[in-house]
Amino acid sequence: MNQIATDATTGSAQATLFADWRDYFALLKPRVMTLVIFTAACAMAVAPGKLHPMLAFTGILCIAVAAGAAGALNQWYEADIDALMKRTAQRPLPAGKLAAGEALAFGVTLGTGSVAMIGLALNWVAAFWLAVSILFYVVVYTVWLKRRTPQNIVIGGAAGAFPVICGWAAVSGDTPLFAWMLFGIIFLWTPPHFWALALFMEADYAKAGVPMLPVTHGLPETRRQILLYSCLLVPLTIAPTLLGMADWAYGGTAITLGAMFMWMAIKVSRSTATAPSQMVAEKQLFKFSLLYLACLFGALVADRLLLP
Amino acid sequence: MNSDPANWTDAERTAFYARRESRNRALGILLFALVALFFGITVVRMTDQINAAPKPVAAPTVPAQ
Repeated sequence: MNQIATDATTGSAQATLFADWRDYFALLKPRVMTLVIFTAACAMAVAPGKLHPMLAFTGILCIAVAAGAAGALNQWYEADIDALMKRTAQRPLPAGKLAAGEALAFGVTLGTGSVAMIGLALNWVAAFWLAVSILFYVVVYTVWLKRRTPQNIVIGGAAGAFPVICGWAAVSGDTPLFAWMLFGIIFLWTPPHFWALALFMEADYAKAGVPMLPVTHGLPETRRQILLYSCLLVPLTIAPTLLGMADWAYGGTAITLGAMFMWMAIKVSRSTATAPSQMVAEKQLFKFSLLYLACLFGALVADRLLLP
Repeated sequence: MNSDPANWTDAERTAFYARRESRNRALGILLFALVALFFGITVVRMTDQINAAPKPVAAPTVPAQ
């Protein structure tokens, strides 16, 4: 365990008396949760089969709570590096609003509770993948990879992609090729998305000693890797249409959005900016990548549900 | 902030009570929502099982001789 978290356990016992419910809510990383909920809900809408609205709500709730639990456990383990970065220094643990033990207990309770609940209310295939998603994020990404390799984001991207598998399994009870294609889309989308952010937050990661690609291999190599992953991502988004799993309404959207994504990735790869204030293309790609994923999954749902 | 509650100032005591109240309210709402959710899930699952159960077939009536 890390130093700050240990200090928080011993030194902020009285501070936690003043903890608000908002501090516990902040442990769940609600902004990250939004994307997880959205992609999982889209997978549930696209998956074959019918689910009672109450059970569908329970499934989404469990996936959201599991993502929150993983976020809480991540913050529990990373309190020391969170304290060093401007972006994360105000999180409840580094700010001394909560004790480390409380965050750990909160994360473990929510994690086990969400897995048990989705298993009992829906099915145990979804529960299995939900447990895998939590363990992958906490053990593989946070504890094992994040501080050891610049490929942390690539492998950690799987953690953000598992909720799609959980959502699909919650409805159909299995995980066919189409579900794994959606998994692959989020998996390949994660590196360009996070590395675009890491390019203009590089100084923060360097200060915290996190081996993000811009810190270990420099800005030009990161830009090259962004372009490489974008080249892999865009064909995969079109593949469901080519394989007859989705209609051309989705295919057309994927091609249009993919062309825009590639154009921005090329702009980033040609950029030579070194100061964060000059990194216009990088910031543009980061913001667009969020819209890209939302529109892509939205188009998939529309393609399946709205069109004949 | 004093570590000993006996040494708290009025402002600290007020802040402590306000935060504790907000935590308790949030916990109460959460527990009530969980009870409602479990009840809803139970009703839906039981209804599914009742609908899936084979319907009793009426015994064939024997025509009067």
